[in-house]
Amino acid sequence: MGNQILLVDDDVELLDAFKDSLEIRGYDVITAINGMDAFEMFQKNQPCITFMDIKMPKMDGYTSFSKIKGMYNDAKVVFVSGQQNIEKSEIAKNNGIIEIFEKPVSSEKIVKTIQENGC
Amino acid sequence: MNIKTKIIFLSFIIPSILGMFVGITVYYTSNDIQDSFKSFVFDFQSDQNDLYEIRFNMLEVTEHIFANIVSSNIVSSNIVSSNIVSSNIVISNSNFEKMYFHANSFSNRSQNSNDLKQIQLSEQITQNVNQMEQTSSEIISILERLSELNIKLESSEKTFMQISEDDTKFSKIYLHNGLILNLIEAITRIHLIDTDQEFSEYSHIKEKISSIFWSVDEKKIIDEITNITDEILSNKITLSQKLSEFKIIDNKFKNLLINSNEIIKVELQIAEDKLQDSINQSILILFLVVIITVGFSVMICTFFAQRFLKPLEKLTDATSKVSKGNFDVTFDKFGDDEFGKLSKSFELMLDSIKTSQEKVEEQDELLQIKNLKLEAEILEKQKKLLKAERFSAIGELSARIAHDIRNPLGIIRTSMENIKVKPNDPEFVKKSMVRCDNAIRRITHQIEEVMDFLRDSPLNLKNVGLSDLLKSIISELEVPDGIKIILPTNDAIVLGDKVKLQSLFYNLIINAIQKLEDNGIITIKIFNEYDSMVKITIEDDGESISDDIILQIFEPLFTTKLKGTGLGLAGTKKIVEQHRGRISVTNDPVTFTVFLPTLK
Repeated sequence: MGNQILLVDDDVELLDAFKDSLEIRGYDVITAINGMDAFEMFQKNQPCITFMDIKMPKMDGYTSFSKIKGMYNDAKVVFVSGQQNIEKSEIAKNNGIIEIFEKPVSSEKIVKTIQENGC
Repeated sequence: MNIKTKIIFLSFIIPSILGMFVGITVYYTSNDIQDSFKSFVFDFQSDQNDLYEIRFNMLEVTEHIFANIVSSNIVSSNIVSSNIVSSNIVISNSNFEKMYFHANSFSNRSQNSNDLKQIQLSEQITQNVNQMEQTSSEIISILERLSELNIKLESSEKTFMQISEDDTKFSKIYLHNGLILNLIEAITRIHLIDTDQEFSEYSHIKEKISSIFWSVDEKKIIDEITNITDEILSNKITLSQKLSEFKIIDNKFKNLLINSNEIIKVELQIAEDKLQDSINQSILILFLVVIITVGFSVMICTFFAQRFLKPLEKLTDATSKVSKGNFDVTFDKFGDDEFGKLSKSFELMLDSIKTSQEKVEEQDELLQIKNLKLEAEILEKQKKLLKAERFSAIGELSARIAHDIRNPLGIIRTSMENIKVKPNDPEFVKKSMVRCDNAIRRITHQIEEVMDFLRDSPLNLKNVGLSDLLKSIISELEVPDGIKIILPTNDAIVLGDKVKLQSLFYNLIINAIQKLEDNGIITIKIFNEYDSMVKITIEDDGESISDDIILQIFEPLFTTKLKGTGLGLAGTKKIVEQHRGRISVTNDPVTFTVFLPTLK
């Protein structure tokens, strides 16, 4: 498991701002723009922690999470969402999602979560 | 008696009377015809029978006559022939009796039948029978006389032969002996052969004998013989005359009887005519009876129908009065038939209607009050329902807006925090500021979209050139590199609100771009061939829209996109309808078609 941080969101502007906020704090950031992309990126780089949007084209956050978790049991994934499905979120919580944040989330909270998970 | 019974009674009695009349008439006519026909046939058969009998007896008589003639010629058996003749006379007489009997019965029927020909025939038959009887009795008397003469001649000849023998003994007249023998031979030959030659020979010998001298005895016997022979000859001549007469009568009679069949057939003809007459007569009677009875039954039925229907008319009048709202109806009693019962129940009904109408009026007021209350309740409930619907719609819309606004808010928040971390890097600050600016613009657009849909701002109508409008929209859009937009080469001017039309086409084009994602071709066409409309199509070569989606694509809050209010196409439709145009979508390729009014 590397020390990279994977950011996943279909809103490219938000993704860029998010990436900047972590990079200026010295983190190694990689990005993906949908669930499918994220799964591939995870397989390739095995990041330390992943921050993922839920509503995305091609593959949503829930599916991507379950696929990643199915392959890497110790994967650390955080949902950052504008709108969540309560049932599916419950399932994700029971399956080891670290945290579910609602947008807009402060950089402080993100950094704190990264530190807590030892990345 | 009730109407059912009356109708049954009438329907029974009229055909019964009719049937009785017809039956009796037919019975009598047919009996008459049968009787007269039978009597005619009987007469015809009796006539035929009588004529047959007459003919049979006539033939018998003729046969006997000729039998007598044959027998009377045989000289040697004169005694026998005389007996035959007398017996034949008896037979002939009985035949004539029978003939008379049948002729009389035929004559009697002829008098009855009134047929002139038949009467003539019967007269002729009777006359012929008379003639025949007379002639035959004459013939018979001649034959009797002939037979007597033959006997005489025979005895004379015997005497002569005796004398001749004596002469021969005494040789007295020996020389004349040969001549006498010649005479006897001549006489015998006349009897047997009876021709002119024998007759002339006999006459010749007779002359010779008379010229010679005879003794007294001889003279006496010779005269006797010649006299008898002469008489026989003269009788024979008469007989031949009578026979020819008889033959003529016989022939006449035969012809008469042969023709008689033709004549009496007239009877059958008459019978047939009479039969036809009777049939015609019965048909006429039948016809008359039918006409009379039909007329009679029509009269009866009309009378009873009027009687039966009069109460019904009164009741109809009464019901029409009641239907107009007049309940004060009175009418006479109609007896105890159905109409009587109907009128009674009608009266009862009227009473109950009167009372129930009063009740109805009371209840009507109550109902009206209740109705008003209910209407108020319904109105209130509808209001509540509308409110609930509105709340649910507002809830959904709010969730959408919240979601769509969270992302730009996230951008603003993160960018602001970034600036706080690196305030001294001017480029970084600028980059972050631009991001904030864009995010604010996104939020503004979202809010405008919602407001556009919700606001009913009036149209600011102007002539809008579509080509220019489309070009300006495209220039403001950030079109991805892989997507090509083909604009129309022609132009059209529509009467519309420029701002709203801009929003309309902006939405349709941005939808197509978002649908194609990274690459594809969008083709926009303008069609001018319609009367007061312009057709604009926006076509893309992307995936087709599934059937369940295509039906609700213009409904508010419907969206397949993960981001968006779901008001884009709904707002588009609203703008088109405000312009009194039409919008629709079809697949293969995906084409949005807009009709907008033009200046024409």
